Amino acid sequence: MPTYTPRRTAQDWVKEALFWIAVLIAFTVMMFPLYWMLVTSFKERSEVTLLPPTFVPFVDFKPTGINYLAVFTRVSELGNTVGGDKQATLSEFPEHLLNSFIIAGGSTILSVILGTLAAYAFSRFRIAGEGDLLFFILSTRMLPPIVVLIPIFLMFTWANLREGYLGITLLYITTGLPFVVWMMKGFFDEIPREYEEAAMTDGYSRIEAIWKIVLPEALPAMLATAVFVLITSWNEFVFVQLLNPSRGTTVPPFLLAIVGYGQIEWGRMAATSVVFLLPVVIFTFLVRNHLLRGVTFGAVRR
Amino acid sequence: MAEIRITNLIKRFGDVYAVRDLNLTINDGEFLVLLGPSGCGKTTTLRSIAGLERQTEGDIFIGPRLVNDLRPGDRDIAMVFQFYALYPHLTAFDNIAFPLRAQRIPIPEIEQRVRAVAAQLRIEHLLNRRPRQLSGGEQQRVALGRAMVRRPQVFLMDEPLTNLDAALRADMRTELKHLQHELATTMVYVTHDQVEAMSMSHRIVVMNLGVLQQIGTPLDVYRRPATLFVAGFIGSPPMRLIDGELADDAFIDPSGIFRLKLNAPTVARIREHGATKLVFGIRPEEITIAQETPPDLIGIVALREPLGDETIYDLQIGTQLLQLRAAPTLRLNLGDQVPLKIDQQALRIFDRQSEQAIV
Repeated sequence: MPTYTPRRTAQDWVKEALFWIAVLIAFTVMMFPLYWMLVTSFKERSEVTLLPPTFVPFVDFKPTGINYLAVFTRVSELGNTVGGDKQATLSEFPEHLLNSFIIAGGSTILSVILGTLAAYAFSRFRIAGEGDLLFFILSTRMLPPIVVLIPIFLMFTWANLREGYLGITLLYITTGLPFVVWMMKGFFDEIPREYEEAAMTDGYSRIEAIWKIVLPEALPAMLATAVFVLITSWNEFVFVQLLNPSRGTTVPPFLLAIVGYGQIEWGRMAATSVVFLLPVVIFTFLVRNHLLRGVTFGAVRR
Repeated sequence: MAEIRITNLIKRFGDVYAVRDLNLTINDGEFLVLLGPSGCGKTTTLRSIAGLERQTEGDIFIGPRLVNDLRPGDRDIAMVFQFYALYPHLTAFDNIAFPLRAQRIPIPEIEQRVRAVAAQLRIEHLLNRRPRQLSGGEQQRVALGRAMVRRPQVFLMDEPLTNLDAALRADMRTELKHLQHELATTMVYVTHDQVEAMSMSHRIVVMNLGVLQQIGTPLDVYRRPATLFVAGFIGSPPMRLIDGELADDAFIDPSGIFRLKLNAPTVARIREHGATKLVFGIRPEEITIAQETPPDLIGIVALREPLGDETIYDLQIGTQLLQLRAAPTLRLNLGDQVPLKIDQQALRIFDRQSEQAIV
């Protein structure tokens, strides 16, 4: 049978063109700051604030790695001799990056595990006051964080939680949990309970059924949820800056600390930000296949 | 292989009774169908046998064992679900092997048993596929394989054919019946489809609103419905029911136009029972065209439904309608007056109050 393809009219072409123009504008608006940061990180200090600005490396300016060197090392002078030996030592950045890994990573893993278990219970069992409990969990996200800043500061001071990893990790778990519980509950509601019931009649306990059947099914959603929780705690600035300004802090407050005196060190800040962004970008990239499936739910065909 | 005994089973969800005081013995090797509309308690009963629901009261025995407190996995049952519930991340092979792995059976034996079951169900070529790569009928077979592979004492099936298209459903009906006959395993099968119930089962249990209405062979339930509910639920078209009372030795409807003389034993039974408000019931094939005079009733043809192999006529008698199942060779026209003969042995009389059959 001959197939009939309707001819595209001029109107269709215009529609298509407008669509792509809109996409291009959105893409540019969102990606330009990132591009600018990336380009700035490869510029010499004098190049950064040049007017008119330069945009394309190798064409407009000669890229340099000096800023990246400055991210990881610090140059100090040995002794007081004039023109004495200079020695490069490791900068504070790796330490803060490690803190970020421990605090953001730890809080993400813990809130995804705890939240998934809670969500499973909410989805599968009859719980007294289930609706109220779920609303309460959600309501903890309804206040702007800044409102609870001072009470939390006082509580953390009193409970001696301002030093070290524990306090800030707990705080990030608290903000991550409601999100995980609600996302995962929505997902579990979509997984027919017949799966576990089948596994249970097949001779497994409920725990085994969850481990062998439900979790493999839920993994994409857990990863998708983890991405969002990770990004939130990875980027969090206000609380960690206020509660824990010492050496135990994550990268965002450190970025503020390296703004510099007299002259703002745009290049070094940009390079630090790029390195700081990479782990999250890599994680998101690794789980990208699960991301769509996890976010769109509907993962299980009835 | 085992008998299942259910005594005084009650299941309540809050204030709602899903099952009320059910007593039922399912014989060893029997194919028993639980039949009823949605919410009649049939699935709850099945899930209680499986151990997926805990009954509020009552006991369930599988074989000699009281299983009230046993986990589903320890009851030696296998269940097939309406949506098959195949594990999506496992291949067909692993799905079928899943219950065997729970029993820590050695790998070569698992392999051999899965292949044997797959051969029996003719799905050997599908073993490496995942559920989403299988058609509905194929998924159905894999689900059956998963149930069969562990050789349970009892099969429990929760509307397993509902999601198949009509042709496949008819095939699977025959196949399931053969399979059950071959395996000779006790099977409890839940459905709302009376054709499945009639065609496959040894006995049917009809339930409504959590109450057992009737237990019997398919023909029993069809010919001698024990309650008004069964009369109206079984059969297509269902039994025609007419309200009325006994006047002398005849059944008359409120208008008095529908007047049917009943035979002496029937009248005696009704008198003995004492009910005054009655319901008369008759199936379309139990009405014939009368050869002798006077006929039992005279109907006016109101509607003709030719179905090919037979024709259903709606016959009007006063304000009442009866249906007549006739051979396609018989041709009646709309408005024809038809003399009717009612099979006195087949007709049913129910008590309107208790809804139970009197005759």
